Amino acid sequence: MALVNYAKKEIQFKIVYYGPGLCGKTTNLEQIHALVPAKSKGNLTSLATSQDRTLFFDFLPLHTTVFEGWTTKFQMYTVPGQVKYNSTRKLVLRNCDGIVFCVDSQWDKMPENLESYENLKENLELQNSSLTQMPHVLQYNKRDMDNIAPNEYIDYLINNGEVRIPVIEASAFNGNGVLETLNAIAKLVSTDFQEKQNK
Amino acid sequence: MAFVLNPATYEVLEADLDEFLKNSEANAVMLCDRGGNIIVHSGESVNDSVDLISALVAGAFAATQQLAAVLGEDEFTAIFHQGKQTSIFIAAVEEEVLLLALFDNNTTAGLVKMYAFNAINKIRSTFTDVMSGEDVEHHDPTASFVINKGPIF
Repeated sequence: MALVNYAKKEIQFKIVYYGPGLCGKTTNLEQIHALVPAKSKGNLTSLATSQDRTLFFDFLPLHTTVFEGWTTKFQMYTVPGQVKYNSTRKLVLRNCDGIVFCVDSQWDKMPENLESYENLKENLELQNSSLTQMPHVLQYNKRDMDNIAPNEYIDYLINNGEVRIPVIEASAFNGNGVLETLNAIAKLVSTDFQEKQNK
Repeated sequence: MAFVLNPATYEVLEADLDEFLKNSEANAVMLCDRGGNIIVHSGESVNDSVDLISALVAGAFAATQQLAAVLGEDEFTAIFHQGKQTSIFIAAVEEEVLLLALFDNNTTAGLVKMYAFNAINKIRSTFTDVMSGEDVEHHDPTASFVINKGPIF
């Protein structure tokens, strides 16, 4: 749920990176933190276990000017990918305005990708929302690895609806595709907001 | 759906928070939504971490709701974290909004809590209007949302 403050001329959006465990959600935020200029970002905070697995969420505030005359804040979150943390994923999804679903492109991770994607749909449904209403993009991550499935196969598994979801190929570990993904979801969320406001 | 704050509502909320800040002698007081977005802030900037505090407070408050459910409560309406120097009091204003106060040893938890509940009563009615959309029509009609060209980041 975007927050529009007419007094301060400020808009806040919440964007959540979703996907199976170890697909690169936290790495995306770390790379964004490294790549975005200092004037547009706050500190990256990770609530992680001692093994560096996300326990609650990662959080990175970004600010820029998307709309003329308005400061726009993007509050970036990741969810914990491990199956057992579903309650936490529901909490982090609350009031979110856009979703990046990170796909682990390795062949043997396809069942986990599918399970996580179904889990996302279920959790959105619990909030009376759905992927058809929610701006979202797919990031096919880990394209630098050897044992990866072709894009067409991942499309066949996940991106097989009537409307094709935007796809960004990435290797978040190397920083490739990370800013492209960020720009894609930021643009989608902003356009969706604009259409609703200017109606 | 967007949560819209027009300048008049913002001023009312800011005045309510300023009064709460003054009476309770807290260092900073804020309103945030349960998704972690900051709505209004009054007092110290807290190391420029207002966004982060808001995100963490929303998370901490939501997490305790599971514990409340185990105990047969609908939810805990307020929680309190005590530190050596700085403490934090968080209370639900209504379904979507939280009030929080950061304070040090110059005041007491009891005083903050008492004034917090006074402030909540005032803020609640304002938010009921905002959430019901009654106020939305009164925002600046000349405002428009034109997206700048080129990449956002």
